[in-house]
Amino acid sequence: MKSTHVLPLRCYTAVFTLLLGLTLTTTAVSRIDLGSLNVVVALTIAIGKALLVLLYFMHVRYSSRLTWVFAGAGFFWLAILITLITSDVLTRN
Amino acid sequence: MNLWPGTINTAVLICSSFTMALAVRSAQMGNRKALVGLLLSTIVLGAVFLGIKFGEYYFKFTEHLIPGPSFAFAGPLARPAEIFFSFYFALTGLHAAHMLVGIGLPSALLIKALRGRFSPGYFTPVELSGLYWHFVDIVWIFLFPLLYLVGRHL
Repeated sequence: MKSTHVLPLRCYTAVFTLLLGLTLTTTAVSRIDLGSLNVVVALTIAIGKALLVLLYFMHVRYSSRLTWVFAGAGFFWLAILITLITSDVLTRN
Repeated sequence: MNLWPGTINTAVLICSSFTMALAVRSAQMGNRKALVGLLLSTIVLGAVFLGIKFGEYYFKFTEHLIPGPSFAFAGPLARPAEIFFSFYFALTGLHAAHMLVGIGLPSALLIKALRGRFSPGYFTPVELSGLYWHFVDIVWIFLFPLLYLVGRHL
């Protein structure tokens, strides 16, 4: 597993700053009442953050297509879980 | 749910993922000194996360929010609240267990790194432990909004 690709430091710092910024954004947005839209915003930001970690910290962006398939399958499964749970919560009175 | 310990813990975990990513980078470049420092920072940040989590658990305990016979929650939503806290403790407890493993791995790596076992030709254990640590971080990235944020305005 010898990876020859070393990412420049500024790539890591940029991703790190974005992740911290998105954390503050999602906390700030959760304090405003947007109804069920709060769930959409919070989960969209979470997916964005997870993608940043996955693509850059975990080097998936620079990995083989096979790695992409396996990482994608994991996300697909997570999407099923979250869709089923939120469809239950949001359709209750 | 108190928003601030959760937000601070998310930031702490992101910092630890950052130091872990840089640790893998240092291993790739064969920089032993940086690798040791960054692994140590990752361990410390992981411990800080668990410390804050422990504090949260402690306050839940004193406020009688642990599901079971002594659970106490005012208002008509007591039963749903008890179910919520069951999920809360199961999810964060399982995550905390993974954090303990996640702190154990870089601790073992730290000893190996101090002995100079890693080089640009061989750093697979650092890379794999890094992947594990980022995975635990991603789990928290989803737990944080689901447990702390989305329930505020439903």
